[in-house]
Amino acid sequence: MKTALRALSVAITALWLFIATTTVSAIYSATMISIEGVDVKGYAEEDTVGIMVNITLYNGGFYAITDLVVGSEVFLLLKPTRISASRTEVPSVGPGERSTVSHRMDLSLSELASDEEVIRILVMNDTFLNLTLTISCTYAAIFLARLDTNITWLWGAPMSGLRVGSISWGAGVISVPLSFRNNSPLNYTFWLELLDGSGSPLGSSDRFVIPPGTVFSQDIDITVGGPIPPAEGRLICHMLMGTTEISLEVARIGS
Amino acid sequence: MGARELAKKIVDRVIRAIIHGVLLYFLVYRIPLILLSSLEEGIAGEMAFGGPDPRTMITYMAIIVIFYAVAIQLTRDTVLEHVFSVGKDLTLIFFFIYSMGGGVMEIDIPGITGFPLPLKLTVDLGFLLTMIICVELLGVGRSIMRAIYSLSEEAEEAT
Repeated sequence: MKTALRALSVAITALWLFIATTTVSAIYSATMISIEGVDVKGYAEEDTVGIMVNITLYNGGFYAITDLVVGSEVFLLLKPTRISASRTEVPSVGPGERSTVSHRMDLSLSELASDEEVIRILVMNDTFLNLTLTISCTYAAIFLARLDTNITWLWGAPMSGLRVGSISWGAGVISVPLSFRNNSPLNYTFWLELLDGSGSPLGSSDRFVIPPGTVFSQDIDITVGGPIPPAEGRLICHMLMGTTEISLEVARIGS
Repeated sequence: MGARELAKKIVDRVIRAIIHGVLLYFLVYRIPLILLSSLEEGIAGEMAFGGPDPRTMITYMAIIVIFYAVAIQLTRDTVLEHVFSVGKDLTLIFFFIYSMGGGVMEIDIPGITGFPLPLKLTVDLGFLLTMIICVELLGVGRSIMRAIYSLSEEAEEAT
């Protein structure tokens, strides 16, 4: 019994020493990890606005950082919806190693086209978006750590403050006064199309190229091959960004 | 046992209790506080802990450890020594669960160099907490075994 008790005491002391050593060295090692730089770059391609985040990480500690995952989510605050999510995985950053994690966050308008309410908000309203950035990892094989941060910023709409004035009718032509400002970094082409009550096209306008930051205010003429004014119709605005086309109803005519 | 022997035994226990108390005061209270202060000089000083404050936790830990160490030394060679020993291990189990937020610690960091946004750090200490609880339970088992052993020895001596 005495030997068993002594052995148990030795085992308990050894386990306490192991726990204390692991914990103290892990805390000390964790203080040696440094984020040497965070480089954020914005970009705009076709229908996509994105941010590229490059995080340079130096692991000066004694233990490896494993299962490093950088995740980001973008939420629309006006209609609480997740509009973008992306994830970057880095298998391991060993002790004494330096690693650059490149994480790309894309906000593609074409991917959101299925939700008309969301696309309408993003195209026509300068609205607040919330970005949640999460970095998670396993440290020293036993500690799971997660770092969260979030930032709210104002989204610049491609057709911010869109206004359709009173439509006037001429011989075979309707004139639509339209004004908006392109507050987005996107370059696009747009045109108007008039559809009848059944959705058949009655006529289209010319195409207009809208560079970023431009104010557009003009009467747009649509040549119509049918009775004017039509008994019932819908005015559709088509936006072409690269190869992506987005169509939104901007006005209704008749009942 | 004569009065002189009894007095000697009591003095011996009191001296042992004082030595243990003073040693533990430095080991469990003063040294951790110095280490914490040096950590607080860096970024840790601006961190806000979601759970209990680390300074308060060190104080509570020191109170528990010193109280039980002194009590164990004062009741040395009696069954109460083992009762206090089991009590210490059980108290420490609950203390560790409470101080580690049940295994998940949340820390608010106001920002780091090159990244000015406020950050929230969540550390899952579940594995460490499990290890600590297992070792404490081993300690409880050892104390019970010691109590049984000393009682059986006393019974043997009596017969």
